[in-house]
Amino acid sequence: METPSIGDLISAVEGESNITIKVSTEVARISGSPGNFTVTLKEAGSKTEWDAPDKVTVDEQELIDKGEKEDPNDGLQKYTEDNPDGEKYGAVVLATGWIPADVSQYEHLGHGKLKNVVTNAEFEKLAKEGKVPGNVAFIQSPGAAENDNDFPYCNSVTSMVALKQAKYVREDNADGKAFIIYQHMRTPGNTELFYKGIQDDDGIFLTKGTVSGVEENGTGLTVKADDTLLGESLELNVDMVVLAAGMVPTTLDNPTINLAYRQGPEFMDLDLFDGYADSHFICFPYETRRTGVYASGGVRKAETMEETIDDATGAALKAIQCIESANRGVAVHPRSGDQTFPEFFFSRCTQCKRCTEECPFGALDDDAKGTPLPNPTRCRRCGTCMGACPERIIGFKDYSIDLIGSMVKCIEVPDDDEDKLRILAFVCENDAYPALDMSGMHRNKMNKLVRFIPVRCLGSMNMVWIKDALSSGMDGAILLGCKYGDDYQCHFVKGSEIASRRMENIGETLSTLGLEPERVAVRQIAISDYNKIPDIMNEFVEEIIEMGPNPFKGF
Amino acid sequence: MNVQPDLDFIKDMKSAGGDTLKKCYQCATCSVVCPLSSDGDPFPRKEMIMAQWGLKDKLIGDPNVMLCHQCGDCTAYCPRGAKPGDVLGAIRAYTYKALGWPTGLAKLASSGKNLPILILIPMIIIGIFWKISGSHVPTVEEFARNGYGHFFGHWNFYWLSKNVFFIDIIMLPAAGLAAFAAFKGVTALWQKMSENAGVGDATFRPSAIQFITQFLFPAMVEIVQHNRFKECNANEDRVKGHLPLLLSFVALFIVTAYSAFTQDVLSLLPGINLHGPISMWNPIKILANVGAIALIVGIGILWANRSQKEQEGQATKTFYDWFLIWEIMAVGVTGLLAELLRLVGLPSLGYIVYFLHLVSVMMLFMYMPYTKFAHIVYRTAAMAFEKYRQSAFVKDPLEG
Repeated sequence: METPSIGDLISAVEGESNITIKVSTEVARISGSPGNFTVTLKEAGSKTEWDAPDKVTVDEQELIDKGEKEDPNDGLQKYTEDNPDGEKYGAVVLATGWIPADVSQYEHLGHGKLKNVVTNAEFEKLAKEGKVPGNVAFIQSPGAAENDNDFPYCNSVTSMVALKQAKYVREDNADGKAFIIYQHMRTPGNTELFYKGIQDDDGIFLTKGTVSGVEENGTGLTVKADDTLLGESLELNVDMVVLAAGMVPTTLDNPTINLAYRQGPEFMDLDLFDGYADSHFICFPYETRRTGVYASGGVRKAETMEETIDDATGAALKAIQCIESANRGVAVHPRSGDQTFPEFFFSRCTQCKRCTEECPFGALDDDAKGTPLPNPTRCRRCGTCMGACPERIIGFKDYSIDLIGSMVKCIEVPDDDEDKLRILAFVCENDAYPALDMSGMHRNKMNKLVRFIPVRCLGSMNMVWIKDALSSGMDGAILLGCKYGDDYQCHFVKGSEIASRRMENIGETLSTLGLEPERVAVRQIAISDYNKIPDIMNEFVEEIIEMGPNPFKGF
Repeated sequence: MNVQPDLDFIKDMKSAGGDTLKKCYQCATCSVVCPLSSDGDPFPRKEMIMAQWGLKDKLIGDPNVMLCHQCGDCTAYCPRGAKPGDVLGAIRAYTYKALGWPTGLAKLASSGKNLPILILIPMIIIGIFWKISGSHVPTVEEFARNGYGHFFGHWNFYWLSKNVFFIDIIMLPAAGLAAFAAFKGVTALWQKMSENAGVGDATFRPSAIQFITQFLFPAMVEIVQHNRFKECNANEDRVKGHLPLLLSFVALFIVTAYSAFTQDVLSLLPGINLHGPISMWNPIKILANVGAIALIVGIGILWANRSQKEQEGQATKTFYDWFLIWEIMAVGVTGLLAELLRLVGLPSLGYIVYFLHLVSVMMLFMYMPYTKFAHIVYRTAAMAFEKYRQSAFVKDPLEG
């Protein structure tokens, strides 16, 4: 096996004059926006007045003002304050890595209780310090009743680590035996060759199996496993048991990034991503939900050295792109190069805070009165703020309430005719609209009563357009957007989810007007679902036909 | 099951042709193609991991390992090149060695580096007896008249001829030892198979006659019919070699039995002289000659098949497999050549070839229980066991 190259890499970085390294340092707060971040650093573990303040909701602030609640941010500078002594940076790459998971919660495995039950990280330390025992069992999955899962935060890394550590057992002991009990052996790509090589070792024994427990047995340990490939339950007498503890991202329990943003110091909705900082692993790798902050390494997924190096390259390129774009005053991603930005007609703002709450990227801070404070370089131009604003005072030069409203008004509505209805579809231009296009190219037939208007993101859907449509006599409106939830596909993360919430609200408004709430619907479509579009549309049209024409038609 | 892998067993496997065994990653493609595999018993997938884990006790008493006739389908379809067929061959080789008695001889016969010793032992024994008998070398006339009948000399009284007497004292102990070792081995195998199959103390045991008529004889019929070979795909040509070979063994067994009867039994009666050589037109002689040719043709086909498989990488070259092929080829070639030399009339050369024939026949007998030839008894036993296991003696017919 090769000696780890990490030492060489560290000294190469240390020798590079354009790179400044600060050790034993933490980020107190990052304020500002891409191209112009102000970063306040502090000694690790210390507290300063510049620490990033926690988010305080409007209700909490009320209680604090009344003196009924303690201010959690007492003694800290307000999040909108910029530290005059802070250092200026253009973009941030978050590579704070991972910590070994605590596996003592799996009581049947005995970590923390039984001597010689160690984690893979502890075993690695043993191997570095000296010889490892000659008879070792590696447990890759917690097992117990019908549990097929690996330890959390494992990915393929712990499979590889177990294979490597099994080799330590063989190299340190002439008659060493290493047992690996796994539910999944993950060795993607070329690492399959490593797996093959290890498998070929006479003294390394692999089997799939469900570990039911580890028990003390004189001076050694007994591992019990069911459902093994050997066709029966196994008992192994070993000197040591190694548990494949996962790699918990540092962002799981700690904000780590410490942003001085209105939406709080941490990344949003981390539970959607199991605590990983990355916002969308497939569509937008390295991009977090904070523009200008990119994730790489263990905060993105449990990964090997090789993958981490790829990651670092990707994140660094994104960071460069960010600084370049900020410098030229254009959007970074995903609408790279967009020259517009949301404009606010502040004299009519009611400080309702909907835009500042709903912005998926935390682009809007607010001032003391609650008026939005835009940070144009944090903005990704999705228009969610425009869709949220009940006063309709937010718009772009090329995309505004008025623009879409005019499109709605331009659609011809058949007048008071039972047979000819009109249905309007608002279509997300990122996935649903190309899917619709493809459906057309495949010559799929669709009901001709429907008219389509593309929108930037369903998040930018302002309710007023629905009202415009229904009051001009159209009989129904459907929104086609991306999937949301933990397997979301929205370009702007929250757009379609926010839109469907708004439509639930508008449903209530409609019923007070005597209209059926079902006249407005939201459907989720993946870009590959183009063949499903005609059915979705026809079904909706059928429902509307059944309900009959809009009673407001002709007024 | 408390598992204690035996690293030496794994090493043994690897040196006996199972060097690919660790490559198996348990995909069970082999079990899909193998006709021996059943839903509850994925063969040879399970045997592969048992071998990887060094669980020799489980493997030695596994009837399927013996029932496998190495059709080669598993090896042909294995996506990982683990060659399950060869691993099973290695397990069998190990089983013969482990069950062999005396242990020293079993170990000796299982390794290629002992080949010179294996050949020297019968050479020395036969050489010494030839010396004791008077180092007889015939003249051309004597040779024409007696053939090899006076190889160990001649005496003039009615009893066993001197030649037959010497052949008996060489071959009978050798065959006896082999028979005893085979009996011991088969008994041990049967016991292990019973244990592994969970055949406890059966309430009813088959009588010897029941055993023969219900299990052993049907198994032998099946062997002669070669039905199982016909289920092969990858190796189906092998039946063309194995069938004539097996029939030639039957033929030569009849010839030998006839000779033993005439030479050892009828010769004891006064006034009867049946000493050879037998006329070329005697039906027994014709059977012997046809048998000899079938033997050479059969083993030749197997030889060619095996070489081709090895060239294609579908089989591993092992001493275990080749020793039997060489041995049988040697018996056939020296036997036929000795006969030809007798007909041509070259006494010295004929005697040398005849000597080699005796050596190779003795090797075939003596090493039978420890080499691949052991399959003749172990596989027959396993096939009988398979029938026994499925019979009402073991399985409750009401519960299936």
